[in-house]
Amino acid sequence: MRVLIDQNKCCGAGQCVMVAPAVFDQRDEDGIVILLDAEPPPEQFESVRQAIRVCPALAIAVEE
Amino acid sequence: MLHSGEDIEFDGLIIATGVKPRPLKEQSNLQGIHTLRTLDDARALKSALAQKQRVLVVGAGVLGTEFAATARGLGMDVTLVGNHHYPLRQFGYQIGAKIADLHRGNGVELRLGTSVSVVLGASGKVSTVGLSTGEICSADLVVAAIGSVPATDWLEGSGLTVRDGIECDAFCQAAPDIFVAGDVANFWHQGYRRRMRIEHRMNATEQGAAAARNLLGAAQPFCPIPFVWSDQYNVKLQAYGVFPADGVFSMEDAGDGTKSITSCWQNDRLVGVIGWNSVKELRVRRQVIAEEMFLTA
Repeated sequence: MRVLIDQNKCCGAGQCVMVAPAVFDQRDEDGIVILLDAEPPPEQFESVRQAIRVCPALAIAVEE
Repeated sequence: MLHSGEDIEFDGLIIATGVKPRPLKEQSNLQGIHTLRTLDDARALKSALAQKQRVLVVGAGVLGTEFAATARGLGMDVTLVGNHHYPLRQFGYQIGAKIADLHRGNGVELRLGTSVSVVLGASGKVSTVGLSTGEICSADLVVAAIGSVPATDWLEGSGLTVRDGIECDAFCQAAPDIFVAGDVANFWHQGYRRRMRIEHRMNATEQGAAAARNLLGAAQPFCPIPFVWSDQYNVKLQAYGVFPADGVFSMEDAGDGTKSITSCWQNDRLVGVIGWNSVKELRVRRQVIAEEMFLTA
């Protein structure tokens, strides 16, 4: 799984960080998403899919 | 039964008809009066804002203040009218005062503690808005952001309880095989022990999924921590939780006014937090709200 983020779409809600803190973080100054792990291990897959589902800006995608 | 006369049978039904923007009472057929709810509404506003306009926003809630900030950012002359003494009044007077200063500092004309009494036009187009104070404001574009009304007219006589939305239980269920989700759902929140109806963006996602799961038999109570955000100028405002009328607010400021966290307490319990450029710290506070909620739930 390869995780893709779109920082231009991101609205900084931080929902992804709440469900997958090992994969996503937020910039301190404005809360925009940063990717901690672009190719997470299988045990993270479900959390990443959950992050895609809850992102209010549809700013996350994966290639599998 | 559809308008076309067609009947559709169901084994399970999810009602998610949302809300409609509340129109101005003084609304007329004049051009230049807008609400903002649908994609078409947004397109109409975008095209109207392609040229310089005198914009008057009615309503100083989240939508009204954010629209005012955006229009100001596009170089419009903006007047923001709110019927309370502070904008975003649900977040307490400290946030209200900061938001008012933010808008004033960016050149928005604020008219607070007043309301619209008359809307006048010339040649079929809005030209002037009269306020309850007697003041007359010129305007080419009026945006009404004065709340919304649940879209439930079609349910009259259905047997469902329609009272500020469609009443449903903690599982989003309104009747056997009938579930409700989103802005129209007035549900029992087990954590806060009260009914609520949430009109925020995230609730559409969260409650939609919860209602679908429960329709399929999951039997999980829906206990969200409501979340709303608004980006205005260089400020990212975010709020988790609820802000009841009897809530007590306290603000912790970083000192220079650029960052703060405001807490809302009810019966000595943290029920809501508002962040002003404080995204990461706010997530920690959200956890406290969750813990407090489940202590008493």
